[in-house]
Amino acid sequence: MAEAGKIHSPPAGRQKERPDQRLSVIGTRMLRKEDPRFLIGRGRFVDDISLPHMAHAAALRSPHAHARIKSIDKTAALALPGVVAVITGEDAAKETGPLPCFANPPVEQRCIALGKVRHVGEPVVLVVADTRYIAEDAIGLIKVDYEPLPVVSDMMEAINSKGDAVLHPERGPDNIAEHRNYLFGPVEQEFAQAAHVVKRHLRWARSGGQPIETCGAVASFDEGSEKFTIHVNGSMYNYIGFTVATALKVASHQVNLVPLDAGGSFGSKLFLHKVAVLAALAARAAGRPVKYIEDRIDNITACDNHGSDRTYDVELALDANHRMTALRYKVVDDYGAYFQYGLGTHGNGFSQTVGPYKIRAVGAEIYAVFTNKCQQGACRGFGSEVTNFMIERIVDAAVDELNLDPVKFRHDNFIKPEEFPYQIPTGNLYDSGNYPGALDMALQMLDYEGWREKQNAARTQGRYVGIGVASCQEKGVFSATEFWMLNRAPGFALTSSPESASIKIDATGKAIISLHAPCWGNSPETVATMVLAEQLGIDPADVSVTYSDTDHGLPGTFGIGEQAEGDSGIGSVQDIEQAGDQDTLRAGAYEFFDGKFAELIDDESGDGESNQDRTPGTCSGSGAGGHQDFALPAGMRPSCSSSLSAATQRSHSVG
Amino acid sequence: MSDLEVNVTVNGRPFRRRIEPRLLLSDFVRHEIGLTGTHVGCENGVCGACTVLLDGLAARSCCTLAVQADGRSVETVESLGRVNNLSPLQRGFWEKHGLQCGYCTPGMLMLMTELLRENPNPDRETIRTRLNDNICRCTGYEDIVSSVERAVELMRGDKAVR
Repeated sequence: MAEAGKIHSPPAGRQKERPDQRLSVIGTRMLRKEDPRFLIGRGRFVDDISLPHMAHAAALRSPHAHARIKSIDKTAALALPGVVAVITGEDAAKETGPLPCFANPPVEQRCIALGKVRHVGEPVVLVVADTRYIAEDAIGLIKVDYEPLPVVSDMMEAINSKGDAVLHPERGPDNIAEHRNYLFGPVEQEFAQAAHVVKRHLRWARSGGQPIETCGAVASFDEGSEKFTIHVNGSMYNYIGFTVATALKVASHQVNLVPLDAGGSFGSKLFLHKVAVLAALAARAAGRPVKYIEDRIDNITACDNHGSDRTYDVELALDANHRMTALRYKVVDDYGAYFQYGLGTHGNGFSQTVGPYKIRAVGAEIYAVFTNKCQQGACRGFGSEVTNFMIERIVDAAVDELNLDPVKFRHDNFIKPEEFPYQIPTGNLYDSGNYPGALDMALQMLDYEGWREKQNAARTQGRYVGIGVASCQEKGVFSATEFWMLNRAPGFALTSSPESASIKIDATGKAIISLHAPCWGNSPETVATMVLAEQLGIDPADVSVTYSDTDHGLPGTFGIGEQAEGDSGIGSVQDIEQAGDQDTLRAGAYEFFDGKFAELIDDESGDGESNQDRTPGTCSGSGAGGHQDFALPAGMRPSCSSSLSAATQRSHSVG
Repeated sequence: MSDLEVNVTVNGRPFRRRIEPRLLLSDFVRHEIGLTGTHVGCENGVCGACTVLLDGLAARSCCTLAVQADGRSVETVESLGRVNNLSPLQRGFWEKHGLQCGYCTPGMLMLMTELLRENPNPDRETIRTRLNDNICRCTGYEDIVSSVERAVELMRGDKAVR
């Protein structure tokens, strides 16, 4: 693995703007473009979708944590007027395959439990009816005979499970989903030479992201084209949406996923395959559109909003000068009943596994275990938060044991601003940072010294005031390459995390940006508008933003958090524009605009060639660690159409 | 269960519908009247996303039967300003980042509409106390409190204040 601090291939920056540059739109105060529609109650959330002749689905969920399904009597439910279909796991298995799983080998999970239930809340029967009220009535009429099985609720117990307590016996005789050792750098050597070794046992409990809006989908199946259209409030729809097709046993081009406004996610709507597959399965069975929206209990017991659930045994090696040299840990992670993202949260942890500190070597022994709980999903930091907790706890343990100052110790161990770009032992490249400056600013803002004085004064009065210091480094983007590292053999078809957007400018000078990732409460429309208005010198009011479905959008990973606003579709907007004076956009615009805008384009091209010879059209492309822009075939002429589109993708390489 | 006829005034307009007695007011407003601005979050009376005004008082429409609104007046987020003519409260939320995903927003706006009608000049603590009724998962509430304060300024015509 990589030697810490050594740079292998730092990517060259493509930023044209200077930090001190005065820009006319970017950096100015612009009210959010998204807000007015939300403020008047005209967002477009999943329950706002209503299709002609639409039916409604509801799920009967397991009351058992672990049980065999011996029989299901759906007679009374089917006889209820208004009931359209009653779908058991066996029925669903004829029409669908396993749900997507990133682990290799995959762990079989079904949209409706087949044979066994493995956690409370797992769907057992899906009912489709004319109204949601009737569907829920019908659920009360279904009789399920369960044979309870031993329940595993403790992660340490899970390591030693045998017999009927094993959740997935077809996968092996125990509940260990994965057991891996990762070594980055000379871990043993560093510990052998250490002047001090600090050890701690840590526990990080399960938590969950809880958006106010639950997950849902509205699906229809068109028999003529044999194609599903699924409106879903998930975010990775343009990236791994094709896996929904696999679960539905159709080809990827037979599913069009349509994005919606999402009423919060916090990670839990990252990849919504369950609601999409259930609604689509129901729509095909019912022969009419079906809406399936989780109620709050569905969401809490069976959605993908549960985060990491771990115990750590951590060791930190330090030299005689109290510099951290190596970190190693054994972690047991309670994944619940399934393993949809494999060790993904640990991969995210590896991308920042030394935090903001210079630690030369890292060793990780990971046990991922199955228990009878809802599976983990992508909650919040998706591994970042728990990694930071582990690092900061062991850093504070060292401070306590060696009687050090928590601020000075951190300062002494920080990667310094002049040391960036800095490669950490796992191979990830930290591009930039000023950790000492950030910590000092925080201490100053909080009057840290003043509070230390107050703390001392209070203690003389017998009162205890606690003051904690934490300095966390958190990644901003995601790379699918982590799944290649985490699995023994690549189990994930994707190699990069592209983002994309399209821009259309019409004959009157108005622009439409199509983002290929959804809106879930960030400000993608505002940021994309500002970037385009800045680059083209047009009024932000002349830009509108829309969201492409999978039929029309290029790959976009998800636009999460920082990725959305720093890199994703918005970055692509800028890429498209920056590609402009070399290929399409400005040249195209030149064809269609006059006056000020045309002059601007002409002034800026500066390549000695007439922009009028350029060809408007469509361009797209992608490349790992950068981007390529594909020119149109030579000889292609501008059409009479008063529109132009261009798209580009960019990829990240992290970790 | 036989259907019942209800007469409900929604945002000043009368509606007559035959409905199941068990139909929730939230579903009545959203799916019978087609006003989808009122959102359903917890379906349990906890989050307040579904808040409407029933005869002027804030009510959880997900825990209220539509038949309970018979002969009464319902106000929803759609009764406030429109995009080109936002109400001071909507304007305050826009200027002070009182929303992100927008899902809890209609309930927040209706809850605060009730507050500002009974007290057009609430202090920050009063606003905070009333906001206890509803849940927002994006903003952390501080900006919502500032948004309502901004609305109070706008209502006073004190537009110079930023």
